[in-house]
Amino acid sequence: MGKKRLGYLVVFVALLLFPAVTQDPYILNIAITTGIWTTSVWGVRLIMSTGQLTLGHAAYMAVGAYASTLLVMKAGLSFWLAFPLSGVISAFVALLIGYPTLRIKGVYFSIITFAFAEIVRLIIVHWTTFLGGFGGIANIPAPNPVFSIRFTGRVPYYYLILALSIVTYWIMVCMEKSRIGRIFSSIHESDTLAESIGINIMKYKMTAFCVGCFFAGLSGSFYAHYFNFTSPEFFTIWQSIYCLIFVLVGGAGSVLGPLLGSFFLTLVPELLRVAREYEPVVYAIILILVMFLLPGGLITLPARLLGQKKRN
Amino acid sequence: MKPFLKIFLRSSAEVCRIKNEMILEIKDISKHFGGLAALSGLSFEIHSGEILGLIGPNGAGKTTLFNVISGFFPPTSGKVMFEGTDITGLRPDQIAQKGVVRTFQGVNLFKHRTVLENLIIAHHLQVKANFWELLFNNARAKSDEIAARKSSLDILGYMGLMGLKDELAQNLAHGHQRALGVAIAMAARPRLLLLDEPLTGMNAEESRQFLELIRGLQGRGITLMVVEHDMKAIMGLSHRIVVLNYGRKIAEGVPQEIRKNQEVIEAYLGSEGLI
Repeated sequence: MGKKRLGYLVVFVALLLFPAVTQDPYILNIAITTGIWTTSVWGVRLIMSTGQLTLGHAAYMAVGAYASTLLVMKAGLSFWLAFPLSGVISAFVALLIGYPTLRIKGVYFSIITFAFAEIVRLIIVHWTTFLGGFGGIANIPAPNPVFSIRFTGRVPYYYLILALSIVTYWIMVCMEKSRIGRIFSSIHESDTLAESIGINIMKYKMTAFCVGCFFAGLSGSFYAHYFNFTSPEFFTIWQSIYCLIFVLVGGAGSVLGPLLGSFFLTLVPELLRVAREYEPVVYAIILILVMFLLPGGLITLPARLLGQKKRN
Repeated sequence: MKPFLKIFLRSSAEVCRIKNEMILEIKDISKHFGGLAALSGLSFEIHSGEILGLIGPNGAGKTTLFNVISGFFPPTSGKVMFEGTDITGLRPDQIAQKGVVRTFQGVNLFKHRTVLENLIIAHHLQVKANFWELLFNNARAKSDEIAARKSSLDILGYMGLMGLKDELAQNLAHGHQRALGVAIAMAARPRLLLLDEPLTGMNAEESRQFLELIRGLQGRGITLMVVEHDMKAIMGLSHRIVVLNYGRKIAEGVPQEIRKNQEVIEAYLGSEGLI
Protein backbone atom coordinates (compact mmCIF):
# COMPACT_ATOMS: atom_id res chain seq x y z
CA MET A 1 0.00 0.00 0.00
CA GLY A 2 2.79 2.38 0.93
CA LYS A 3 4.61 1.52 -2.28
CA LYS A 4 1.50 2.23 -4.31
CA ARG A 5 1.06 5.64 -2.66
CA LEU A 6 4.69 6.45 -3.29
CA GLY A 7 4.24 5.46 -6.95
CA TYR A 8 1.25 7.78 -7.25
CA LEU A 9 3.22 10.60 -5.62
CA VAL A 10 6.20 10.17 -7.96
CA VAL A 11 3.97 10.21 -11.05
CA PHE A 12 2.05 13.22 -9.72
CA VAL A 13 5.20 15.24 -9.04
CA ALA A 14 6.62 14.25 -12.44
CA LEU A 15 3.46 15.43 -14.20
CA LEU A 16 3.44 18.62 -12.13
CA LEU A 17 7.04 19.44 -12.98
CA PHE A 18 6.77 18.39 -16.61
CA PRO A 19 6.39 21.95 -18.02
CA ALA A 20 9.49 22.95 -16.06
CA VAL A 21 11.45 20.42 -18.12
CA THR A 22 10.07 21.34 -21.48
CA GLN A 23 7.73 24.02 -22.74
CA ASP A 24 7.94 22.83 -26.31
CA PRO A 25 4.41 23.56 -27.61
CA TYR A 26 4.50 20.43 -29.74
CA ILE A 27 5.15 18.12 -26.78
CA LEU A 28 2.70 19.98 -24.53
CA ASN A 29 0.10 19.64 -27.26
CA ILE A 30 0.51 15.86 -27.24
CA ALA A 31 0.12 15.81 -23.45
CA ILE A 32 -2.99 18.03 -23.58
CA THR A 33 -4.56 16.00 -26.40
CA THR A 34 -3.96 12.82 -24.38
CA GLY A 35 -5.72 14.47 -21.44
CA ILE A 36 -8.72 15.50 -23.56
CA TRP A 37 -9.08 12.02 -24.96
CA THR A 38 -8.55 10.09 -21.77
CA THR A 39 -11.20 12.09 -19.85
CA SER A 40 -13.71 11.13 -22.48
CA VAL A 41 -12.46 7.57 -22.91
CA TRP A 42 -12.74 6.88 -19.17
CA GLY A 43 -16.44 7.60 -19.61
CA VAL A 44 -16.67 5.04 -22.41
CA ARG A 45 -14.99 2.44 -20.22
CA LEU A 46 -17.42 3.19 -17.39
CA ILE A 47 -20.41 2.73 -19.71
CA MET A 48 -18.84 -0.46 -21.11
CA SER A 49 -18.45 -1.82 -17.58
CA THR A 50 -22.25 -2.13 -17.36
CA GLY A 51 -22.27 -4.10 -20.61
CA GLN A 52 -23.45 -1.29 -22.89
CA LEU A 53 -21.28 -0.56 -25.90
CA THR A 54 -21.69 3.07 -26.92
CA LEU A 55 -20.87 4.08 -30.48
CA GLY A 56 -21.84 7.71 -30.06
CA HIS A 57 -19.62 9.15 -27.37
CA ALA A 58 -18.41 11.97 -29.62
CA ALA A 59 -21.98 13.33 -29.60
CA TYR A 60 -21.67 14.07 -25.89
CA MET A 61 -18.31 15.73 -26.43
CA ALA A 62 -20.02 17.82 -29.11
CA VAL A 63 -22.86 18.71 -26.74
CA GLY A 64 -20.29 19.81 -24.15
CA ALA A 65 -18.24 21.78 -26.67
CA TYR A 66 -21.19 23.65 -28.17
CA ALA A 67 -22.94 24.17 -24.84
CA SER A 68 -19.83 25.74 -23.40
CA THR A 69 -19.17 27.81 -26.53
CA LEU A 70 -22.70 29.18 -26.63
CA LEU A 71 -22.84 29.83 -22.90
CA VAL A 72 -19.64 31.87 -23.11
CA MET A 73 -20.14 33.60 -26.46
CA LYS A 74 -23.93 34.16 -26.52
CA ALA A 75 -24.91 34.15 -22.85
CA GLY A 76 -21.74 35.88 -21.70
CA LEU A 77 -21.02 33.39 -18.92
CA SER A 78 -17.54 32.94 -17.50
CA PHE A 79 -15.70 29.85 -18.74
CA TRP A 80 -15.40 28.67 -15.14
CA LEU A 81 -19.19 28.47 -14.93
CA ALA A 82 -19.78 27.24 -18.48
CA PHE A 83 -17.21 24.47 -18.09
CA PRO A 84 -18.98 22.50 -15.31
CA LEU A 85 -22.36 23.40 -16.83
CA SER A 86 -21.38 21.81 -20.13
CA GLY A 87 -20.74 18.55 -18.27
CA VAL A 88 -24.13 18.82 -16.57
CA ILE A 89 -25.86 19.55 -19.89
CA SER A 90 -24.18 16.52 -21.49
CA ALA A 91 -25.26 14.34 -18.58
CA PHE A 92 -28.80 15.69 -18.90
CA VAL A 93 -28.90 14.88 -22.62
CA ALA A 94 -27.58 11.40 -21.71
CA LEU A 95 -30.45 11.07 -19.23
CA LEU A 96 -33.02 11.86 -21.93
CA ILE A 97 -31.41 9.53 -24.46
CA GLY A 98 -30.60 6.82 -21.93
CA TYR A 99 -34.09 6.53 -20.51
CA PRO A 100 -35.60 4.81 -23.55
CA THR A 101 -32.42 3.27 -24.98
CA LEU A 102 -30.65 1.72 -21.99
CA ARG A 103 -33.37 -0.92 -21.79
CA ILE A 104 -32.11 -2.17 -25.12
CA LYS A 105 -29.17 -4.51 -24.98
CA GLY A 106 -26.31 -5.51 -27.20
CA VAL A 107 -25.85 -4.34 -30.74
CA TYR A 108 -29.21 -2.54 -30.87
CA PHE A 109 -28.10 -0.11 -28.19
CA SER A 110 -24.87 0.51 -30.11
CA ILE A 111 -26.78 1.24 -33.30
CA ILE A 112 -29.10 3.69 -31.53
CA THR A 113 -26.20 5.56 -29.93
CA PHE A 114 -24.53 5.69 -33.35
CA ALA A 115 -27.70 7.07 -34.92
CA PHE A 116 -28.04 9.67 -32.16
CA ALA A 117 -24.45 10.79 -32.71
CA GLU A 118 -25.16 11.31 -36.40
CA ILE A 119 -28.33 13.26 -35.57
CA VAL A 120 -26.34 15.57 -33.30
CA ARG A 121 -23.70 16.08 -35.98
CA LEU A 122 -26.31 16.80 -38.66
CA ILE A 123 -28.10 19.30 -36.44
CA ILE A 124 -24.81 21.15 -35.98
CA VAL A 125 -24.07 21.04 -39.72
CA HIS A 126 -27.48 22.33 -40.74
CA TRP A 127 -28.21 24.89 -38.02
CA THR A 128 -25.86 27.41 -39.55
CA THR A 129 -27.24 30.54 -37.89
CA PHE A 130 -27.01 29.31 -34.31
CA LEU A 131 -24.39 26.57 -34.31
CA GLY A 132 -22.15 27.79 -37.12
CA GLY A 133 -22.88 24.95 -39.53
CA PHE A 134 -20.13 23.05 -41.24
CA GLY A 135 -17.71 25.91 -40.91
CA GLY A 136 -17.90 25.73 -37.12
CA ILE A 137 -17.53 28.54 -34.60
CA ALA A 138 -14.22 30.35 -34.48
CA ASN A 139 -12.67 32.77 -31.97
CA ILE A 140 -13.95 30.97 -28.91
CA PRO A 141 -12.43 32.95 -26.05
CA ALA A 142 -9.79 31.40 -23.82
CA PRO A 143 -10.76 30.81 -20.19
CA ASN A 144 -10.81 34.01 -18.11
CA PRO A 145 -7.69 34.55 -16.03
CA VAL A 146 -7.80 33.08 -12.53
CA PHE A 147 -5.41 33.90 -9.72
CA SER A 148 -3.72 36.17 -12.28
CA ILE A 149 -2.92 33.15 -14.46
CA ARG A 150 -3.66 34.05 -18.04
CA PHE A 151 -4.47 31.35 -20.57
CA THR A 152 -2.08 32.52 -23.25
CA GLY A 153 0.51 29.78 -23.69
CA ARG A 154 -0.09 26.06 -23.46
CA VAL A 155 1.15 25.61 -19.91
CA PRO A 156 -2.06 26.80 -18.14
CA TYR A 157 -4.11 24.49 -20.36
CA TYR A 158 -1.75 21.68 -19.45
CA TYR A 159 -2.42 22.22 -15.75
CA LEU A 160 -6.16 22.55 -16.26
CA ILE A 161 -6.45 19.27 -18.19
CA LEU A 162 -4.09 17.65 -15.70
CA ALA A 163 -6.40 18.64 -12.87
CA LEU A 164 -9.45 17.41 -14.79
CA SER A 165 -7.77 14.10 -15.62
CA ILE A 166 -6.70 13.54 -12.02
CA VAL A 167 -10.20 14.22 -10.71
CA THR A 168 -11.72 11.93 -13.36
CA TYR A 169 -9.18 9.22 -12.61
CA TRP A 170 -9.84 9.48 -8.90
CA ILE A 171 -13.61 9.18 -9.35
CA MET A 172 -13.17 6.23 -11.71
CA VAL A 173 -10.92 4.46 -9.20
CA CYS A 174 -13.39 5.15 -6.38
CA MET A 175 -16.20 3.65 -8.46
CA GLU A 176 -14.10 0.66 -9.44
CA LYS A 177 -13.04 -0.12 -5.88
CA SER A 178 -16.43 0.42 -4.28
CA ARG A 179 -19.54 -1.73 -4.39
CA ILE A 180 -20.79 0.50 -7.23
CA GLY A 181 -18.16 -0.85 -9.60
CA ARG A 182 -19.02 -4.40 -8.65
CA ILE A 183 -22.71 -3.70 -9.25
CA PHE A 184 -21.86 -2.36 -12.73
CA SER A 185 -19.88 -5.47 -13.61
CA SER A 186 -22.52 -7.76 -12.14
CA ILE A 187 -25.07 -6.18 -14.48
CA HIS A 188 -22.61 -6.81 -17.31
CA GLU A 189 -22.17 -10.46 -16.33
CA SER A 190 -25.83 -11.31 -15.75
CA ASP A 191 -28.49 -8.64 -15.71
CA THR A 192 -31.24 -11.17 -14.88
CA LEU A 193 -29.39 -12.40 -11.79
CA ALA A 194 -28.61 -8.82 -10.76
CA GLU A 195 -32.31 -7.92 -10.97
CA SER A 196 -33.34 -11.03 -9.07
CA ILE A 197 -31.25 -10.02 -6.05
CA GLY A 198 -32.77 -6.57 -5.93
CA ILE A 199 -30.48 -4.43 -8.07
CA ASN A 200 -32.35 -1.74 -10.00
CA ILE A 201 -30.39 -2.26 -13.19
CA MET A 202 -31.86 0.73 -15.04
CA LYS A 203 -30.78 3.06 -12.25
CA TYR A 204 -27.20 1.82 -12.31
CA LYS A 205 -26.91 1.67 -16.09
CA MET A 206 -28.26 5.22 -16.16
CA THR A 207 -25.75 6.33 -13.54
CA ALA A 208 -22.83 4.91 -15.51
CA PHE A 209 -24.13 6.43 -18.75
CA CYS A 210 -24.71 9.89 -17.27
CA VAL A 211 -21.39 10.01 -15.42
CA GLY A 212 -19.57 8.83 -18.57
CA CYS A 213 -21.29 11.50 -20.65
CA PHE A 214 -20.67 14.16 -17.98
CA PHE A 215 -16.93 13.72 -18.44
CA ALA A 216 -17.35 13.64 -22.23
CA GLY A 217 -19.06 17.03 -21.92
CA LEU A 218 -16.23 18.46 -19.81
CA SER A 219 -13.71 17.09 -22.27
CA GLY A 220 -15.61 18.65 -25.19
CA SER A 221 -15.82 22.01 -23.45
CA PHE A 222 -12.08 22.03 -22.80
CA TYR A 223 -11.45 21.02 -26.40
CA ALA A 224 -13.41 23.99 -27.76
CA HIS A 225 -11.70 26.53 -25.52
CA TYR A 226 -8.27 25.05 -26.06
CA PHE A 227 -8.43 25.16 -29.85
CA ASN A 228 -10.57 28.35 -29.78
CA PHE A 229 -12.57 26.65 -32.45
CA THR A 230 -15.26 24.02 -32.70
CA SER A 231 -16.68 22.32 -35.75
CA PRO A 232 -18.80 19.25 -36.51
CA GLU A 233 -15.70 17.83 -38.16
CA PHE A 234 -14.25 17.14 -34.69
CA PHE A 235 -17.21 15.05 -33.62
CA THR A 236 -17.77 12.49 -36.35
CA ILE A 237 -18.36 8.78 -35.99
CA TRP A 238 -14.59 8.34 -36.13
CA GLN A 239 -14.15 10.10 -32.80
CA SER A 240 -16.72 7.77 -31.23
CA ILE A 241 -14.98 4.74 -32.66
CA TYR A 242 -11.58 6.04 -31.58
CA CYS A 243 -12.90 6.23 -28.02
CA LEU A 244 -13.65 2.50 -28.17
CA ILE A 245 -10.32 1.69 -29.82
CA PHE A 246 -8.49 3.64 -27.09
CA VAL A 247 -10.23 1.59 -24.40
CA LEU A 248 -9.48 -1.71 -26.11
CA VAL A 249 -5.88 -0.91 -27.03
CA GLY A 250 -5.13 0.43 -23.54
CA GLY A 251 -7.04 -2.35 -21.82
CA ALA A 252 -10.57 -2.34 -20.45
CA GLY A 253 -9.56 -4.31 -17.37
CA SER A 254 -7.91 -1.38 -15.60
CA VAL A 255 -8.67 2.29 -15.02
CA LEU A 256 -5.18 3.05 -16.34
CA GLY A 257 -6.03 1.33 -19.64
CA PRO A 258 -7.85 4.26 -21.26
CA LEU A 259 -5.04 6.62 -20.21
CA LEU A 260 -2.42 4.35 -21.75
CA GLY A 261 -4.53 3.84 -24.88
CA SER A 262 -5.12 7.58 -25.31
CA PHE A 263 -1.44 8.39 -24.82
CA PHE A 264 -0.16 5.63 -27.10
CA LEU A 265 -2.61 6.34 -29.89
CA THR A 266 -2.09 10.11 -29.71
CA LEU A 267 1.63 9.57 -29.90
CA VAL A 268 1.85 6.99 -32.68
CA PRO A 269 0.34 9.02 -35.54
CA GLU A 270 2.53 11.95 -34.44
CA LEU A 271 5.65 9.82 -34.51
CA LEU A 272 4.76 8.25 -37.82
CA ARG A 273 3.85 11.70 -39.14
CA VAL A 274 0.94 10.23 -41.07
CA ALA A 275 -1.60 12.38 -42.78
CA ARG A 276 -4.96 12.76 -40.97
CA GLU A 277 -6.69 10.73 -43.66
CA TYR A 278 -4.60 7.68 -42.86
CA GLU A 279 -5.10 7.84 -39.09
CA PRO A 280 -7.97 5.31 -39.10
CA VAL A 281 -5.74 2.86 -40.96
CA VAL A 282 -2.98 3.18 -38.37
CA TYR A 283 -5.46 2.77 -35.53
CA ALA A 284 -7.04 -0.25 -37.18
CA ILE A 285 -3.68 -1.98 -37.62
CA ILE A 286 -2.73 -1.27 -34.01
CA LEU A 287 -6.10 -2.50 -32.78
CA ILE A 288 -5.80 -5.75 -34.72
CA LEU A 289 -2.23 -6.32 -33.51
CA VAL A 290 -3.17 -5.65 -29.89
CA MET A 291 -6.25 -7.87 -30.05
CA PHE A 292 -4.15 -10.74 -31.39
CA LEU A 293 -1.03 -10.34 -29.29
CA LEU A 294 -2.34 -8.73 -26.08
CA PRO A 295 -6.09 -9.33 -25.78
CA GLY A 296 -6.09 -7.59 -22.39
CA GLY A 297 -4.66 -4.39 -23.89
CA LEU A 298 -1.32 -2.63 -23.43
CA ILE A 299 -1.89 -2.49 -19.68
CA THR A 300 -1.24 -6.23 -19.48
CA LEU A 301 2.12 -5.91 -21.28
CA PRO A 302 4.32 -5.64 -18.13
CA ALA A 303 2.64 -8.68 -16.54
CA ARG A 304 3.03 -10.56 -19.81
CA LEU A 305 6.72 -9.73 -20.06
CA LEU A 306 7.35 -10.65 -16.43
CA GLY A 307 5.41 -13.88 -16.85
CA GLN A 308 7.50 -14.83 -19.84
CA LYS A 309 10.70 -14.09 -17.96
CA LYS A 310 9.58 -16.36 -15.15
CA ARG A 311 8.80 -19.16 -17.57
CA ASN A 312 12.25 -18.85 -19.14
CA MET B 1 -19.79 -28.65 14.36
CA LYS B 2 -20.10 -24.94 13.80
CA PRO B 3 -22.59 -23.19 16.08
CA PHE B 4 -24.43 -21.82 13.09
CA LEU B 5 -25.11 -25.31 11.78
CA LYS B 6 -26.24 -26.47 15.22
CA ILE B 7 -28.84 -23.76 15.37
CA PHE B 8 -30.06 -24.75 11.95
CA LEU B 9 -30.29 -28.45 12.83
CA ARG B 10 -32.21 -27.75 15.99
CA SER B 11 -34.72 -25.56 14.19
CA SER B 12 -35.19 -27.94 11.29
CA ALA B 13 -35.63 -30.84 13.66
CA GLU B 14 -38.62 -29.09 15.14
CA VAL B 15 -41.61 -29.53 12.94
CA CYS B 16 -41.90 -26.12 11.42
CA ARG B 17 -45.43 -24.95 11.75
CA ILE B 18 -47.23 -24.18 8.55
CA LYS B 19 -49.52 -21.30 9.28
CA ASN B 20 -52.88 -21.07 7.72
CA GLU B 21 -52.25 -17.56 6.49
CA MET B 22 -51.42 -16.99 2.85
CA ILE B 23 -48.07 -15.55 1.88
CA LEU B 24 -48.71 -15.45 -1.88
CA GLU B 25 -51.93 -15.41 -3.83
CA ILE B 26 -52.08 -16.02 -7.56
CA LYS B 27 -55.37 -14.53 -8.72
CA ASP B 28 -56.66 -15.45 -12.16
CA ILE B 29 -53.29 -15.00 -13.87
CA SER B 30 -53.10 -15.19 -17.65
CA LYS B 31 -50.06 -14.68 -19.80
CA HIS B 32 -50.23 -14.60 -23.57
CA PHE B 33 -47.29 -14.51 -25.94
CA GLY B 34 -48.91 -13.34 -29.15
CA GLY B 35 -51.55 -15.99 -29.86
CA LEU B 36 -50.08 -18.48 -27.41
CA ALA B 37 -51.64 -18.70 -23.97
CA ALA B 38 -48.76 -19.78 -21.72
CA LEU B 39 -50.93 -19.34 -18.62
CA SER B 40 -54.68 -19.02 -18.54
CA GLY B 41 -56.84 -18.18 -15.57
CA LEU B 42 -54.44 -19.60 -13.02
CA SER B 43 -55.30 -19.21 -9.33
CA PHE B 44 -53.83 -20.76 -6.20
CA GLU B 45 -52.26 -19.80 -2.89
CA ILE B 46 -49.08 -20.52 -1.03
CA HIS B 47 -49.35 -20.82 2.73
CA SER B 48 -46.81 -19.23 4.96
CA GLY B 49 -44.07 -21.70 5.91
CA GLU B 50 -44.86 -24.52 3.48
CA ILE B 51 -43.00 -26.12 0.60
CA LEU B 52 -45.23 -26.02 -2.46
CA GLY B 53 -44.28 -28.23 -5.40
CA LEU B 54 -45.14 -27.06 -8.89
CA ILE B 55 -45.14 -29.79 -11.52
CA GLY B 56 -46.39 -30.35 -15.02
CA PRO B 57 -45.19 -31.62 -18.40
CA ASN B 58 -42.71 -29.60 -20.44
CA GLY B 59 -44.24 -26.38 -21.70
CA ALA B 60 -46.96 -26.41 -19.02
CA GLY B 61 -46.07 -22.83 -17.99
CA LYS B 62 -44.12 -23.43 -14.78
CA THR B 63 -41.18 -21.19 -15.62
CA THR B 64 -43.53 -18.60 -17.13
CA LEU B 65 -45.36 -18.52 -13.81
CA PHE B 66 -42.04 -17.97 -12.01
CA ASN B 67 -41.25 -15.13 -14.37
CA VAL B 68 -44.66 -13.57 -13.76
CA ILE B 69 -44.41 -13.83 -9.96
CA SER B 70 -40.85 -12.47 -9.85
CA GLY B 71 -41.68 -9.59 -12.19
CA PHE B 72 -39.63 -10.61 -15.22
CA PHE B 73 -42.80 -10.78 -17.37
CA PRO B 74 -45.86 -8.75 -16.49
CA PRO B 75 -49.00 -10.92 -16.69
CA THR B 76 -51.53 -10.22 -19.44
CA SER B 77 -54.25 -10.19 -16.77
CA GLY B 78 -54.71 -11.16 -13.16
CA LYS B 79 -53.01 -10.28 -9.92
CA VAL B 80 -50.18 -11.48 -7.73
CA MET B 81 -50.59 -10.62 -4.04
CA PHE B 82 -47.68 -11.01 -1.63
CA GLU B 83 -48.43 -10.72 2.07
CA GLY B 84 -51.63 -8.91 1.21
CA THR B 85 -50.11 -6.29 -1.10
CA ASP B 86 -50.41 -6.25 -4.85
CA ILE B 87 -47.03 -6.86 -6.49
CA THR B 88 -48.32 -7.24 -10.05
CA GLY B 89 -46.35 -5.15 -12.51
CA LEU B 90 -43.52 -4.30 -10.13
CA ARG B 91 -39.96 -4.66 -11.41
CA PRO B 92 -37.95 -7.77 -10.42
CA ASP B 93 -35.74 -5.73 -8.07
CA GLN B 94 -38.77 -4.23 -6.34
CA ILE B 95 -40.29 -7.69 -5.88
CA ALA B 96 -36.99 -8.97 -4.48
CA GLN B 97 -37.04 -6.07 -2.06
CA LYS B 98 -40.52 -7.10 -0.90
CA GLY B 99 -39.13 -10.56 -0.06
CA VAL B 100 -39.81 -12.75 -3.12
CA VAL B 101 -36.59 -14.08 -4.65
CA ARG B 102 -36.22 -16.64 -7.42
CA THR B 103 -33.46 -18.84 -8.76
CA PHE B 104 -32.97 -19.67 -12.41
CA GLN B 105 -33.39 -22.86 -14.37
CA GLY B 106 -29.95 -22.88 -15.93
CA VAL B 107 -26.74 -21.88 -14.23
CA ASN B 108 -26.98 -18.12 -13.73
CA LEU B 109 -24.03 -16.77 -11.74
CA PHE B 110 -21.52 -13.93 -11.84
CA LYS B 111 -19.17 -16.38 -13.51
CA HIS B 112 -15.97 -14.37 -13.51
CA ARG B 113 -16.13 -13.60 -9.81
CA THR B 114 -15.24 -15.77 -6.86
CA VAL B 115 -17.87 -17.58 -4.87
CA LEU B 116 -17.47 -15.16 -1.97
CA GLU B 117 -17.69 -12.10 -4.26
CA ASN B 118 -20.90 -13.53 -5.75
CA LEU B 119 -22.39 -13.70 -2.27
CA ILE B 120 -21.18 -10.25 -1.22
CA ILE B 121 -22.79 -8.64 -4.28
CA ALA B 122 -25.95 -10.58 -3.58
CA HIS B 123 -26.27 -8.72 -0.26
CA HIS B 124 -27.27 -5.64 -2.24
CA LEU B 125 -30.58 -5.24 -0.40
CA GLN B 126 -28.82 -5.26 2.97
CA VAL B 127 -26.61 -2.30 2.03
CA LYS B 128 -27.61 0.79 3.99
CA ALA B 129 -25.04 3.24 2.58
CA ASN B 130 -26.22 5.51 -0.23
CA PHE B 131 -24.48 6.12 -3.55
CA TRP B 132 -22.11 8.82 -2.30
CA GLU B 133 -21.24 6.94 0.87
CA LEU B 134 -20.38 3.92 -1.27
CA LEU B 135 -18.38 6.01 -3.73
CA PHE B 136 -16.19 7.52 -1.05
CA ASN B 137 -16.21 4.34 1.07
CA ASN B 138 -17.15 6.04 4.36
CA ALA B 139 -17.69 4.31 7.69
CA ARG B 140 -21.21 3.18 6.85
CA ALA B 141 -20.10 1.67 3.53
CA LYS B 142 -17.28 -0.13 5.33
CA SER B 143 -19.56 -1.55 8.02
CA ASP B 144 -22.01 -2.69 5.31
CA GLU B 145 -19.15 -4.49 3.61
CA ILE B 146 -18.08 -6.21 6.83
CA ALA B 147 -21.66 -7.27 7.57
CA ALA B 148 -22.15 -8.57 4.02
CA ARG B 149 -18.93 -10.53 4.25
CA LYS B 150 -19.87 -12.10 7.56
CA SER B 151 -23.34 -13.04 6.39
CA SER B 152 -21.87 -14.40 3.12
CA LEU B 153 -19.54 -16.70 5.02
CA ASP B 154 -22.48 -17.91 7.13
CA ILE B 155 -24.50 -18.76 4.04
CA LEU B 156 -21.53 -20.44 2.35
CA GLY B 157 -20.95 -22.53 5.45
CA TYR B 158 -24.57 -23.55 5.45
CA MET B 159 -24.56 -24.44 1.75
CA GLY B 160 -21.35 -26.44 2.10
CA LEU B 161 -19.39 -24.08 -0.15
CA MET B 162 -16.97 -22.70 2.44
CA GLY B 163 -13.99 -24.58 1.04
CA LEU B 164 -14.65 -23.12 -2.41
CA LYS B 165 -15.09 -19.48 -1.41
CA ASP B 166 -12.07 -18.24 -3.39
CA GLU B 167 -12.80 -20.28 -6.54
CA LEU B 168 -14.17 -18.53 -9.61
CA ALA B 169 -17.84 -19.40 -9.98
CA GLN B 170 -17.26 -20.66 -13.52
CA ASN B 171 -14.78 -23.28 -12.30
CA LEU B 172 -17.17 -24.98 -9.87
CA ALA B 173 -18.66 -28.41 -10.46
CA HIS B 174 -22.26 -28.32 -11.64
CA GLY B 175 -23.72 -29.35 -8.30
CA HIS B 176 -21.79 -26.61 -6.53
CA GLN B 177 -22.91 -24.05 -9.10
CA ARG B 178 -26.53 -24.95 -8.37
CA ALA B 179 -25.85 -24.63 -4.65
CA LEU B 180 -24.25 -21.23 -5.25
CA GLY B 181 -27.35 -20.15 -7.18
CA VAL B 182 -29.48 -20.88 -4.11
CA ALA B 183 -26.89 -19.26 -1.81
CA ILE B 184 -27.10 -16.05 -3.88
CA ALA B 185 -30.88 -16.03 -3.56
CA MET B 186 -30.54 -16.61 0.20
CA ALA B 187 -28.35 -13.55 0.53
CA ALA B 188 -31.30 -11.40 -0.55
CA ARG B 189 -33.11 -12.66 2.61
CA PRO B 190 -36.26 -13.93 0.94
CA ARG B 191 -39.44 -14.75 2.82
CA LEU B 192 -40.66 -16.61 -0.26
CA LEU B 193 -38.05 -18.42 -2.33
CA LEU B 194 -38.86 -19.74 -5.79
CA LEU B 195 -36.56 -22.58 -6.88
CA ASP B 196 -36.64 -23.45 -10.57
CA GLU B 197 -35.54 -27.07 -11.11
CA PRO B 198 -32.88 -27.07 -8.39
CA LEU B 199 -31.92 -30.73 -8.87
CA THR B 200 -31.25 -30.68 -12.62
CA GLY B 201 -27.94 -32.30 -13.49
CA MET B 202 -27.26 -33.62 -9.98
CA ASN B 203 -26.48 -37.23 -9.17
CA ALA B 204 -28.48 -39.16 -6.59
CA GLU B 205 -26.22 -38.31 -3.66
CA GLU B 206 -26.04 -34.61 -4.55
CA SER B 207 -29.84 -34.54 -4.92
CA ARG B 208 -30.31 -36.13 -1.52
CA GLN B 209 -28.04 -33.59 0.16
CA PHE B 210 -29.66 -30.75 -1.68
CA LEU B 211 -33.14 -31.81 -0.63
CA GLU B 212 -31.92 -31.75 2.97
CA LEU B 213 -30.70 -28.20 2.43
CA ILE B 214 -34.05 -27.16 0.98
CA ARG B 215 -35.87 -28.68 3.96
CA GLY B 216 -33.45 -26.80 6.17
CA LEU B 217 -34.42 -23.53 4.50
CA GLN B 218 -38.05 -24.26 5.28
CA GLY B 219 -36.96 -24.97 8.84
CA ARG B 220 -35.51 -21.48 9.00
CA GLY B 221 -38.90 -20.04 8.20
CA ILE B 222 -38.58 -19.48 4.45
CA THR B 223 -41.61 -20.41 2.39
CA LEU B 224 -40.65 -22.28 -0.76
CA MET B 225 -42.15 -22.93 -4.16
CA VAL B 226 -40.22 -25.56 -6.09
CA VAL B 227 -40.45 -26.55 -9.73
CA GLU B 228 -38.87 -29.95 -10.25
CA HIS B 229 -38.99 -32.76 -12.79
CA ASP B 230 -37.77 -35.44 -10.42
CA MET B 231 -41.18 -36.77 -9.31
CA LYS B 232 -39.90 -38.87 -6.46
CA ALA B 233 -38.00 -35.94 -5.03
CA ILE B 234 -40.82 -33.44 -5.34
CA MET B 235 -43.38 -35.86 -3.88
CA GLY B 236 -41.12 -36.44 -0.90
CA LEU B 237 -40.28 -32.78 -0.42
CA SER B 238 -43.54 -30.90 -0.86
CA HIS B 239 -46.33 -30.36 1.60
CA ARG B 240 -48.70 -29.59 -1.23
CA ILE B 241 -48.44 -29.83 -5.00
CA VAL B 242 -49.96 -27.79 -7.81
CA VAL B 243 -50.07 -29.44 -11.24
CA LEU B 244 -50.11 -27.38 -14.43
CA ASN B 245 -50.87 -28.51 -17.95
CA TYR B 246 -51.15 -26.21 -20.96
CA GLY B 247 -51.12 -23.19 -18.68
CA ARG B 248 -54.05 -24.37 -16.54
CA LYS B 249 -54.16 -25.83 -13.06
CA ILE B 250 -55.36 -29.41 -13.37
CA ALA B 251 -54.85 -30.50 -9.77
CA GLU B 252 -53.88 -29.24 -6.34
CA GLY B 253 -53.41 -31.15 -3.13
CA VAL B 254 -51.14 -33.19 -0.90
CA PRO B 255 -48.75 -35.61 -2.70
CA GLN B 256 -50.89 -38.69 -1.96
CA GLU B 257 -53.90 -37.12 -3.69
CA ILE B 258 -51.84 -35.99 -6.67
CA ARG B 259 -50.44 -39.49 -7.19
CA LYS B 260 -53.95 -40.91 -7.56
CA ASN B 261 -55.41 -38.06 -9.62
CA GLN B 262 -56.59 -39.41 -12.96
CA GLU B 263 -56.10 -36.15 -14.84
CA VAL B 264 -52.52 -35.84 -13.61
CA ILE B 265 -51.75 -39.40 -14.69
CA GLU B 266 -53.19 -38.64 -18.11
CA ALA B 267 -51.15 -35.48 -18.44
CA TYR B 268 -48.05 -37.54 -17.81
CA LEU B 269 -49.30 -40.33 -20.11
CA GLY B 270 -46.54 -42.77 -20.79
CA SER B 271 -44.70 -41.75 -17.69
CA GLU B 272 -47.17 -42.96 -15.04
CA GLY B 273 -44.40 -44.97 -13.49
CA LEU B 274 -42.73 -41.71 -12.56
CA ILE B 275 -45.62 -40.71 -10.36
